[in-house]
Amino acid sequence: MFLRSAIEEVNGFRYMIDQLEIQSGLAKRVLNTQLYLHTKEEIVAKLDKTEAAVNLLRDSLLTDTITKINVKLMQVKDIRGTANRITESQALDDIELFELKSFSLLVMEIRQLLLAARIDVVVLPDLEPVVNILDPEKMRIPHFYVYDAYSEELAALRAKMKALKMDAKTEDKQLDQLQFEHTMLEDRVREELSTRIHPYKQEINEAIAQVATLDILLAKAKQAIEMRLCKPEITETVTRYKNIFNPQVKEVLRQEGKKFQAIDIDIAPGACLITGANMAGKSVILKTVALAQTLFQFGFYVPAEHAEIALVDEVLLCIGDEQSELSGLSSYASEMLRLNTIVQDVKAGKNALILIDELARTTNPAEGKAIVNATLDFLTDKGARSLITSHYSGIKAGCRKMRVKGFIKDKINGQLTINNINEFIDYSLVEDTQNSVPQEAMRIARILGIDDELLDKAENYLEQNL
Amino acid sequence: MFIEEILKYNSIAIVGLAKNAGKTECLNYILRHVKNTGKRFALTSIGIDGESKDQVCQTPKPEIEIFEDMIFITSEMHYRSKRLVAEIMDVSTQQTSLGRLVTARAVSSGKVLLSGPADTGSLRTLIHEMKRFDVDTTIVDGALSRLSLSSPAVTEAMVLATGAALSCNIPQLVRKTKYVYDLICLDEAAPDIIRKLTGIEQGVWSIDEEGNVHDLDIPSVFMLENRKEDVFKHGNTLYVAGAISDKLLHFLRQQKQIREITLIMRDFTKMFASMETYYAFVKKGGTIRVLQKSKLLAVCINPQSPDGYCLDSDELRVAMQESLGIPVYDVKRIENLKIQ
Repeated sequence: MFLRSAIEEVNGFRYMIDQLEIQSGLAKRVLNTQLYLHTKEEIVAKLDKTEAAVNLLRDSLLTDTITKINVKLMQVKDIRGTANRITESQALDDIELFELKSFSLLVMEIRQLLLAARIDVVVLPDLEPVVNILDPEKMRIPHFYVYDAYSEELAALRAKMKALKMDAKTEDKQLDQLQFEHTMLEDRVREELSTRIHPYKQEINEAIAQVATLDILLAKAKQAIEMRLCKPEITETVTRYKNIFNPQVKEVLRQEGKKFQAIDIDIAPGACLITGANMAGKSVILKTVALAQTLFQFGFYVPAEHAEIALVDEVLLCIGDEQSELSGLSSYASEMLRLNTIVQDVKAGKNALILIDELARTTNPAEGKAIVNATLDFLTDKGARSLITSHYSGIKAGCRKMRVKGFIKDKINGQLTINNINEFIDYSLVEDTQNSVPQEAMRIARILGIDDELLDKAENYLEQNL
Repeated sequence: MFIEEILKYNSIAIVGLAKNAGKTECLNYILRHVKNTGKRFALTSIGIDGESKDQVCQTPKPEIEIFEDMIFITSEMHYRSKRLVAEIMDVSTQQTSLGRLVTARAVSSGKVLLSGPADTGSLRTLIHEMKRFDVDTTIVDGALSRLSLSSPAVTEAMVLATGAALSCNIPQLVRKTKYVYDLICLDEAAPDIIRKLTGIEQGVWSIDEEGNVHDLDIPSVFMLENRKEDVFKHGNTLYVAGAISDKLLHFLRQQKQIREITLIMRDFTKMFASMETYYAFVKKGGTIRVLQKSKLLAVCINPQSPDGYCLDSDELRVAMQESLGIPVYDVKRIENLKIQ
């Protein structure tokens, strides 16, 4: 899977990518085509590179060099089209030669900066031979034309044309003929130049890739430092996050003057049921775990204080589907179809991380509960890493159960409103041994300011049932 | 001559009142005369221009001759068909319908097809960026009935080209040109009012006696009809951020306090009302002001119409000069006289 499709699927991933301060359009496009990684080696290599970049940014002696490199990276243009034409030994035109020359000059300058500061997080090939071909006058400025220096014949013709143009008696016809010869000569020079450049095709393509890598690495490292992300360790057993947080939600809360409570969570093979009151952050937990796993699989740092993560082949999400009405299905139908693909994937032996929010919530509780039980049993049997949230009481399946702590009892008498409710909730997860779920729907509805008459009636019904 | 005037500005627009009004001859004339002034010039266009065949009428059209060391900006497609030696200095990332824009310096003199950014916003950015290449003055070649680029918000000053292509009848040609000239000469509103209105990009606004600005909450002048009673509740001075239509001027003219009414528009390019409506409004005592006044450097005439009809150059020039009260040039004739 390409990064650009993961952005569409995983909530919060787009935010992380948008927040990256990548300098060049080239690097942005290269980043979009990065692949979901499936091997430990690939991920370790990416994470190690990011770590190296983080260390560079933390080194105050290098601040100046990094700023200079960023300014150069900002000027880099995407010349992959031109590079392809070089690889295919085609003749380049003036605009392509110009692009190649300015790119090569930038690569030379960035390479100098890297060498002088002994930075080896990427190694740029030496493009000086390419610059030499395109800069016969050794001006080292990023301008280009078919210089007189390339051909004595061309220089002579240009001088002749200039003299004739000054002479009022010259006929247009004669000039047209010379202009035609001039075009032919220029074309020949461009062909020669293209032939001379062709042997450097590998260096040019390598330089494009490495410049993009450098740009991406510096942006990732800057983000890791600013957002306080951590380098995850790789495990084969239990995925463990200490103080995992959701950067986007954290930022939204920060702007409102509120704090995001980071939590700890373990995800072992097998299913885990998460219960908790409404507004207790169950969905945010699932979304954040999905985000962290995805970031890890693309070789990014993750939003936690410490993380040990097991590789998975895919993150399978089933979190409230807004598309259902558009596709003409009821929300229940689209959820079941999604569940079915997850089940089929697990049966096919896919090593996936499965995250399902409030399974079967849109149908009656009796049957819904049965579906939740069955799904938990199935996923536990198959040893599939999965988190499933639910409001149903009396889930009997023999799986691990966790509960969001919820309302802090000793704070319970404070003035509770919709705006400060998050101060009264402890979002951390605890092992849950009870079969019943917290009954706090009424209380939260009252905090939300829902009509009293309606809620009184509901309370009445509750009491009669008990 | 107006050439010295051109050197004083960072950007100049050459606009024609009609296709084949002599805009390109005028531009070539200017280029020939500025080449040895020691200043650096950049040349571009808006949209497509400089075709060797006119895209609309298929009549031959003089090409634009660029001289050594001048900078020009044109699209990739036109750059490839240039007939001069030029050094590429920059290639934009932005695409136009004819490819990216190439900025180049002429190494030899020769002819080139000019094209440029498709909208005035990008053109303004481009003019600003020319400082990077030590350009003193950027000259923008206008396109078919595109007065908008001569808006003082885009270019600092303008040269107007008019001619037989607009009308083969001298009095009528003079009248039509005079209309545009009168709009260009409209006075600016009071400085404190300009300051308050400059940032307002849309809607219809009213300015009261104390100089306070009120939003009349009319999104467009086309909806004025339904809100007639509210228009003058704060006073008789109105500011219209968008286009001024015939309908608006008709409506204002019919008010009994027409002599007290002042209409403010952004600049002369916002006037879309016909000549007749405009003069009727002014004759009844209405006043029009602009936020930004244009600087007109010269009026150039082309007595030759594309269908071959030729007016008398002297007669046209004298008539035009008398009506406008400023010097008028027939650049082609000036050049021919020199050769003889």
